[in-house]
Amino acid sequence: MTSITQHVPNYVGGISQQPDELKVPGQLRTAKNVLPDVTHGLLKRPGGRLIGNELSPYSGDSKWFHYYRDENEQYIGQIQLSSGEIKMWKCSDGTACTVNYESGQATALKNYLKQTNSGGTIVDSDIQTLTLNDYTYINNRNKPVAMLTGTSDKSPVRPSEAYIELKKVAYANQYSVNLFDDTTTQTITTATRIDVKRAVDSSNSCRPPTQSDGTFASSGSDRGAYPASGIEPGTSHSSGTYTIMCDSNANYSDLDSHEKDSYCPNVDTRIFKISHGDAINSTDINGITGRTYTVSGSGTLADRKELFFRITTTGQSVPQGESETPKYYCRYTTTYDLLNGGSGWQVGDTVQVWMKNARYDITIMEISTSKVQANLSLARPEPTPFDTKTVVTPESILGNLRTAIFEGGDQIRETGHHYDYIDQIGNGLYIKRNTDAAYRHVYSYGDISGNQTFNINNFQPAISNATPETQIRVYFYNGSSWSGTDVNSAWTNYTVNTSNQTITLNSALQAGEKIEIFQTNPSLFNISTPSGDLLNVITSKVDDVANLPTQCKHGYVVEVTNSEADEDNYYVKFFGNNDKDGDGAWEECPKPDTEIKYDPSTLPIQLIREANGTFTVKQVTWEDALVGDTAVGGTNPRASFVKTSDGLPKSNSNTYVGTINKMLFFRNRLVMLSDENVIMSQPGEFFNFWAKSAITYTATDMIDISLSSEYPAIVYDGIQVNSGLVLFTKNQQFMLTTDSDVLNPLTAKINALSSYNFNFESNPISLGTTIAFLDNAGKYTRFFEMQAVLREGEPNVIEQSKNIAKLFLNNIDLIANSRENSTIFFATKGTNKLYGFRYYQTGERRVQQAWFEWELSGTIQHIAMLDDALYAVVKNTGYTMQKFSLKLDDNSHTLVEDETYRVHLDNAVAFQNQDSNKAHYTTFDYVADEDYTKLDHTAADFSGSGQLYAVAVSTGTDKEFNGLVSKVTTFEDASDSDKVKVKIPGNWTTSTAAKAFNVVIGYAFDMEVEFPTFYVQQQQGERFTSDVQSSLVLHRIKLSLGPTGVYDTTIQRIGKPNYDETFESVMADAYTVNTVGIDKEQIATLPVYEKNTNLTLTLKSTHPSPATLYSLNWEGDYTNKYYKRV
Amino acid sequence: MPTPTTVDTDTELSAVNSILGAIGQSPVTTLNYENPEIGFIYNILTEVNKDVQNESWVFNTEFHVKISPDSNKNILIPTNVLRYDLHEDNVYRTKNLIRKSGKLWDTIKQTYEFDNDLYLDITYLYPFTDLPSAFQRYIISRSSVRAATQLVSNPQLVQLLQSQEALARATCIEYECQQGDHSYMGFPEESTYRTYQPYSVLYR
Repeated sequence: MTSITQHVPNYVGGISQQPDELKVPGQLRTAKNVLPDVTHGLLKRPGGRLIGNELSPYSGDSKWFHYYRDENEQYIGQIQLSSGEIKMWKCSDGTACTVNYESGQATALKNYLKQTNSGGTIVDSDIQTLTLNDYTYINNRNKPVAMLTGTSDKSPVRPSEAYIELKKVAYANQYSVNLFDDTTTQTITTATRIDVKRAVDSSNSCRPPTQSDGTFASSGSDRGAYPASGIEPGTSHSSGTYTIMCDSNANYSDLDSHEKDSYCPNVDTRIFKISHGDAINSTDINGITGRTYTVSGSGTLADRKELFFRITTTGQSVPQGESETPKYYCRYTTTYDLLNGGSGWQVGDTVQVWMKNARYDITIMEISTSKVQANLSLARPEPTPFDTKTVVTPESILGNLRTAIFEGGDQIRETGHHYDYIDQIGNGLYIKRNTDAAYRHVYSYGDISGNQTFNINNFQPAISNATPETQIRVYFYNGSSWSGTDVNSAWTNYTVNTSNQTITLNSALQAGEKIEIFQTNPSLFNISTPSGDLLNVITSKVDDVANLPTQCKHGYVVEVTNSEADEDNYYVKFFGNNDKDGDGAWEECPKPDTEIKYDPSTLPIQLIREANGTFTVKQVTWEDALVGDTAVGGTNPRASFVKTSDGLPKSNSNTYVGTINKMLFFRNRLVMLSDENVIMSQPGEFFNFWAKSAITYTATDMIDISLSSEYPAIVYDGIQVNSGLVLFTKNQQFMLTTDSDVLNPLTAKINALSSYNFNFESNPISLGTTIAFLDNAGKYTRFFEMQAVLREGEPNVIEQSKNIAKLFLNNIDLIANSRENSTIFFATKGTNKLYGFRYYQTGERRVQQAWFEWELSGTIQHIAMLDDALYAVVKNTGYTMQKFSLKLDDNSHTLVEDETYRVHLDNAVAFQNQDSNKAHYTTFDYVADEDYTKLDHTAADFSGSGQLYAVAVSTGTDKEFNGLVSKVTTFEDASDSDKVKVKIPGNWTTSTAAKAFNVVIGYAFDMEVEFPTFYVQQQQGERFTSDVQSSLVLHRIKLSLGPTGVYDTTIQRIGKPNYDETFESVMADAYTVNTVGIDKEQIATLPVYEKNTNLTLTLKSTHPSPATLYSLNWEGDYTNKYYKRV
Repeated sequence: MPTPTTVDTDTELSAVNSILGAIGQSPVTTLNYENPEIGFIYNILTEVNKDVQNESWVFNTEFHVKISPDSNKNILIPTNVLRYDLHEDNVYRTKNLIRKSGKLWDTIKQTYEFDNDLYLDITYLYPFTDLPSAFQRYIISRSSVRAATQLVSNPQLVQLLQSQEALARATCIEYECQQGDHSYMGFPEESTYRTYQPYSVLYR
């Protein structure tokens, strides 16, 4: 038998549920209401100071949250889940803050916050918060995110417009375009070859009279002679009478007629433009006026238009005969060129043209026939001049084209009601159809059967459904003015018969009256041009950005399609300089008529701390899409938190189902976790969840990336570490990171990290250099710490709760941690128990990992670690906010002497009777008859079941009352209307200012430490081995205590009564007067004389005074029973 | 020959505190027997008290004490009796008494029943506080040795305390000699006889 002693240097190892023989020195079976500290030992936990008065919160189920602005301003907030209403309180003094709702948004904001899930329930964890400076963003996990679909919320609908850019000014070209909005075609014929025969010239312009036998007379005319003015050259009478057709003296009186011919008077060259019905210049036809070009052919001759050709007639005087004085006649040679085949010409068409009194017979020999789409306008302006004698300017070309467009059909109209626009902008024409009236149908007096009823079922495009009245708009013209000027003033004096799609006017049209019916379905039109080298026609798309004009209509939108694939399509909008038409630049824009706005009522909202101390709840102004197609799969797709139930575009048959589980900040981006996706805003643009460009990825684009796993990979939470963002699903952990210096859509990647269950109703936390999270699998909660989280390689994950595997109940939903104090608190809402985990790291070595538990004076609603204090909202009868200062602060309840000692009371209030302007002022009334002091405690909630204590804390210079302690009770004061007051035994009043004191009243709580079985322990390296086979009879245990007041020890011995001993640090009448009864250091010896396995030692302190355990020594007899340990 | 006893000032509390002091422990103000140390020491004190009185000293031994049987003819042995012996049974061998089931048993007649009164020599167990001071001190010293052995297991301390114990026992022997007035002459109780008193010459 050997007498031995062993020293346990500290008890800051916390609770361990390992068998005692496996516990390392310093661990405990029970550590209740303690705070293990590597410097100060095992301390009694700080008491909870009541902040302000009782709160007056919502009584229903509520989500509590906190908001840390800076070291001077912290707040606790409450969101009532049933109503979505918010209350806020200051943590400094507990005063309630005014919470305002943005005007007009209150209902939407509250609806957002109270949104339930599909099962109709909402729980605390459905509400998540994220704070950035003055802004706290609040997210409801149940709220599906939607897009705004209103007309004004979409990008503008593309007008029915087009732009024709003049690419080149060219002579001898026709700048023709076709405007159409359907597939019907028109047949256009164009002459491609003509034959020109000179029928009349100076050799036969003066025809001899026709004789009765039909032959020409041999006399009466002469070559080179001309008929008199007004007589068509080359003509003759068919009447059989001789008529002097040619007056030889008429024009060339000084010459012989042959000489007249020898001068070749018909030589000329000219370009002809022939349209049926155009006037012939009288000088070309010997002064005949009123003659027009007349086409001989079949069909509608008026269609023969604008046949351009050049006739060149040359002549040479040649001698006639062999005479020495021969006569000279003119030999003509005529050439011709077809310059423009015009339109409408048919093979065989003939027309006579005149040039210098010579007649040429034109015959259409060949034509080309084409079919073109031009139901709106077939614009065929006059070709530009074929010679250089006429100046061609862009303006003239565009002007002609503009005219031609209006003239090319009856649906593009410059006048009338709801007319269209064709403006010349720069070097092009901007054409805009009036979208209120895509099609026009005009009915005048006489057009309508009986002037009253007409069909609309033959309209094109067809009026399809049974509600035609919604598709037409009627305007009435009374002969001098229209019935209305816009949609709202349209004429209504008619009835639509939906059964047979007819309209019946309520009164018949009169002469001069007409109606115009417009079909309202807007129709986009297209333009084509056969002159692609001259004109660049743009409607809604171009295939290459190079085809965009440099001048255009301000606001004009074009889709650039690039390749056949849709992925490289994008939209550009023309921004004229100074927002005016003309010169400007093309910039990317969203697809017209597309959803570009997220619905702010379905997205997280913000709680703003205003400068005046109030709070404002308002919706966030989310950025609109500025480019591309925002459809799912588009070039600038909407964030994946907008999702429908069937994955198809939103319709009446599906619903929005995408919700946001959590918001985070990561690398200057706002991160939304939704389903299996991680969506990050543009950097620095927290509310911009769109791409910068639909053309290419940029480093500043939104990032939308998804997780993939064989498990359900709905990501609920995340936390930032040095190498990336660790993401948490129910079953796995992932890391969002990048191998590049820049995080962008191309470099972002998600790696699987580990596979541990995660309680998504809690939040992961940072322990400084490591992270930690909770697992809710099974009956108990596990607490994992993840270390060495790197981009490459597996992290180390340690279950830190292994020691207390059966203590840590499941459904832990409240976590508060202080990295500065290396302390984490856990709680389940609605219970009164807090679990704490304290750690201390020195370099790579963690010297402390201690679990402990606290019991508070009521049920916990919320906990928050703000700076060095734990704030808890605790409910007894009412709600209180209590502050547990891990480090002493100026407001802690303390007894100050040469050292500062805490007053360990919960829900503690310092009542004072010195300054009525300060908080918790009350009077201390001494009732001499019954020897007690009473005071009013209106502000505090003392309705709990715990033992109330009062402690006097001197505020004056005389410390006579300092540290005076008494148990107190509450009672109904019959002398004061049965008001409930605190009764303190004895006289706690003083009239001496120097002896003034405050009375701290609160609930006492039990600090309780149960030691493990004492074994002889040997250290071998890092391990401790307990000798459980030897015999150890403990003689005594010596507790080394720090600042300690009153405490109790209990030795439980198997089969014997407990040995309880209460220690008072300083013996009565054995300490300095007017000092508190607290000993700074002491060693308490507890006699044991018991076999080590038969006893349990418990240290307990319920007194308001401190209690501190430094270390422990035990002494006893030890024998190894003579068995050699092998 | 009766002589006045020494005034006794020791109590059980002082005895326990003396033992606590002997083994280096703090004294106590009250005897809390739930205190394992106090209980332990008190137990030692009780045992040693019994051990010492069991030696039948003059102060706790009475001769020729008449004991009457009860109505059942049994003689119950009280708790404060350490020893019973039939008076002068070295002369009268008609009975031989032992303790059996808390009563006297005649091993010769093999009966609990006694028809007549018996005259017995009795060794009593007196409370510690009733003991002569010399014996109290002896008991304390002897208890201290046991306490040092069992409570602190300190051989040096045991050795030191044993020397004190030896001195205390010497005092007890001296007390016994003094108070016993022993004589080899032999004469019955309640008679007077003065023999030669040679030791009286040592009086001074």
